Amino acid sequence: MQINVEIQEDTADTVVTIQCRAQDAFVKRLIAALRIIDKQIMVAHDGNITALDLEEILYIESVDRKCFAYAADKVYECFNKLYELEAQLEPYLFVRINKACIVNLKNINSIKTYIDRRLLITLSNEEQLIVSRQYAHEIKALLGVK
Amino acid sequence: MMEERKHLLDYLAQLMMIFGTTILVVTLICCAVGDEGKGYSTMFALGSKGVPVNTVLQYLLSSGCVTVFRFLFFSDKIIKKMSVAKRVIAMLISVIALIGIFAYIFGWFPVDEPRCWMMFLLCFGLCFVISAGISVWKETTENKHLADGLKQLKEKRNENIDRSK
Repeated sequence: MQINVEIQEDTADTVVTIQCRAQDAFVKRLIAALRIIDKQIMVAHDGNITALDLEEILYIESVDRKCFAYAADKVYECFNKLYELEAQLEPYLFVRINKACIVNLKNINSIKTYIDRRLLITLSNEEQLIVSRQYAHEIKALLGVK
Repeated sequence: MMEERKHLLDYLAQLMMIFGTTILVVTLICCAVGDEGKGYSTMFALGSKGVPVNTVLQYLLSSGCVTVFRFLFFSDKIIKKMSVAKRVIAMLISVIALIGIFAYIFGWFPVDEPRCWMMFLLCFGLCFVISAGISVWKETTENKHLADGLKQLKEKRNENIDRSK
């Protein structure tokens, strides 16, 4: 298999094109692998760099200019800035809930109204996060409320 | 800075809403029983003709205090960790205490007469039950819409994943 990398600075998104005679088992495996990689981010845990499935992430928080991804039982350090992750993960239903946090809507158990026109999110691990007033409007609009 | 200004305007809007509602309710009471209450309360000093200007200013002050209580108990700025039920109870006690103090200072009603206190608590309780009922109904409806929206969004997302496979 020959691998070519073509760098075009004006390209908005990375495009992977597979040139083949037929879509055989190998090509199908290749596509499946690419799809998996597309739904992962690179993170660090205990000094090791690893790929973390987006499905596993409950929320990502920025603390002291570092970003941490919280899974059900582990915390991983991310390499990107929060605003970069927000843009990258937006198609996978990750939304900003306050200045320091983006949450995976897939792993939310419930969203309820909270005092001072904010929202209270309960995650699948029963942890609760507060959506600030500023972002509560956006989340309500996303959910078709108002 | 912009956000702070927005918050300030929000509190100002709340103050004007409380003040406006109070004036409206008291004016209606004044029209109905103002002449009978003339000797009992400074609020009805003009009888059924209307609410005296100094009473209006006292209401503005009390509305300001209630807005401060709202900020104190319902914004997380000062009291960080407190359940909603405890916040409501604290707010209720503070408002009743405030009205009691104002009634004593400004002569809104004779504070040494238990009948007046009974009437005040009855009116206050009725207003509280009505407003709490409206809030609970609004909150339940909105929570249901949020839950439905979240469910639909998750289903839509799962459909997109299935389609991309």
